[in-house]
Order: sequence, then structure tokens, then C-alpha cells
Amino acid sequence: MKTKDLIAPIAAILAAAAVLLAASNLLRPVAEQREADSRAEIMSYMLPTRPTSFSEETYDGEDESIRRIFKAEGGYVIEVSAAGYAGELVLWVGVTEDGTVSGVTVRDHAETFGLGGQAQHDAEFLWQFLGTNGDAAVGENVDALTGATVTSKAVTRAVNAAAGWVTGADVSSGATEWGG
Amino acid sequence: MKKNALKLNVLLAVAVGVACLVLMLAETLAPMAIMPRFDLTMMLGLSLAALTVEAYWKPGQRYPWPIATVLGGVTFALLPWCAGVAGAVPVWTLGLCGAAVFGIAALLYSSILERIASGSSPRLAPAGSALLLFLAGQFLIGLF
Repeated sequence: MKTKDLIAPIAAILAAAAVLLAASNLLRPVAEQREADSRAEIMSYMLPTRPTSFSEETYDGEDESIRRIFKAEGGYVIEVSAAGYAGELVLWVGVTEDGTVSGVTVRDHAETFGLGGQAQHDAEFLWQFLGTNGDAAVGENVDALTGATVTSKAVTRAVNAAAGWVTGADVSSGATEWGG
Repeated sequence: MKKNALKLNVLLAVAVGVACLVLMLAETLAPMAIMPRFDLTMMLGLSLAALTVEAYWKPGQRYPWPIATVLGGVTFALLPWCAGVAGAVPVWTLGLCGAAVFGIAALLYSSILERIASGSSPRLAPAGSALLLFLAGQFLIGLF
């Protein structure tokens, strides 16, 4: 092994790094703007008032599942997370000012394709959370996704945490701890 | 077996660079799309992609594995960090995990190929071995 043998791979790594760094700096402002536009559009569907502007509120509570809170006319859109089967699930939950869930969308997950991954697309499953007030429970008023009980309970916990923040309920205690 | 000037690491840099670029473009053009994360499974997939291309391109190569593994770790640390696609994962974690995944994948893959490439034209052996190794690795990663 000669030192000159290292030149080609190191040059390739540095060249790729330079290209990516330049592309990242070029695309970042566009990505941030498009992300903000898309976020506002999706969030506007999550509250009955169809608000067009949101302001982010600071959350200093103890519930670690609550990540970000966006306030709008008529309610909140709350970004919550919960441990799923294969990783962390991130959801946006629209909650009206009286604590009623008015919209749920899965924003990120690493669940199994065809099983827990269905939580992202299965409208029938997500529909069940609309109208709940932090009282959603798998096996009671929520039917779990087939073959994905852990994911279903994670979604339930996250939705209850969001509603619980608005109503002031402590959803991390008692029967709702595991979403069922 | 011939000595090789670390062409595998050049291929790995290309594979990781293209993957980072695709993720970056997806974040820009479709910011609400849920894309695969830059995690251990993706590292394994990219390592095996580079190994497979290399196996078809220059079969039977021999590498100084310690240096190749270190360079693999540098690749997995530096490129996602430059592209900003690794989220909040620290660079050193990416590097250590990348080196481990690449080193283990390369060792297992080359061992498998050496043992099953006994026929005159084992055309499917490199791709088949990579696919099976990826599925096995995905299963093991899923346990953690």
C-alpha cells in the first residue's frame, strides 16, 4: 500500500463534499421557503376555521412528546412525537380551543411498510381521532391498524398528548399512558 | 488477486454523494414528502451498492481493509454532514457507525463472493449476495 494510492479516494471524498456543501448552501433558502409554504398549506386544513397564518409558541412544559406548538385563529396545530415500533413517529395534530381534535397527519415515521406504515395513509384509522378530546383509547373508541398495535397505540398517545396540552389534562398518567 | 488502489472507496464516495444529493433535492422540491432517513440501513444499502458495482467492474480485488474502513467512516461522516441530511446526529457518530457498517459489510460480502463464485459465469452472484446481505442486515438493525 503506497501513499499515492490514497490520493484518488481522498480526492473523491473531498470533491463530493465540496459539491454537496455548495449545493446545500444554494438550496437551503429555497428549501426553507418551500417548507414554510407547504407547512402553512397543510396546517390550514387541520383546523375548522381554515386559518392562513400561524405563530409558533414556546413550549416549556414537561411533556416530552410535545415538540412544537403553532397557534392560529380557532385553535392550535401541535407537533408531537411518540415511540413507534421501529422508531419515532412525528405527527401534527390540529386541536380546537376547546380541546377537540380536528386534524391528524403523520409527518415522519420509520414503521414497517404495509403494517405500521399504514398509519400514514389509512384515512379510516386517522379519522377515528377526529372529535376526541384526549380520551382516545385503542380497543375502546379507536380500532388499531391490523398487525400494528404498537404503532396504533403510539399514534393514540401522541394525539392524546396534543389534546391534553390544550385541555390541561395530564395524559401521561393512568389508563391513557399506553394509549389504551 | 490483484492489489487495488482503493477504487471501492471512490465508488462509495460516489454512491453516498448521489444519495445525499437526492435527499437534499427531495427536501427542497418536496419538503413534506417522507423520505428514508440517513440511518444504519441506508449506510448498509450504500455500502453494498458500492461493493456490487465494484464486484462487476473489477472482480476479485483485494483491499487494505483497515484503511478502506477508515475512509468509509470518513465518507459517511463528511458527506451527509456537508449535505445537511443527517439531522441532529453528531458527525463522529455518523463516522463510527459508517465505518462499522462499511467494514462489516465489505468483509462479509467479499467472503461470500469468494465462496460462491465457483462457476464459470456467476452473473447473478454479486447482486444476489448483496440483496440477501441487505435483507439480513436490515433484520438485524431492526432488532436494535
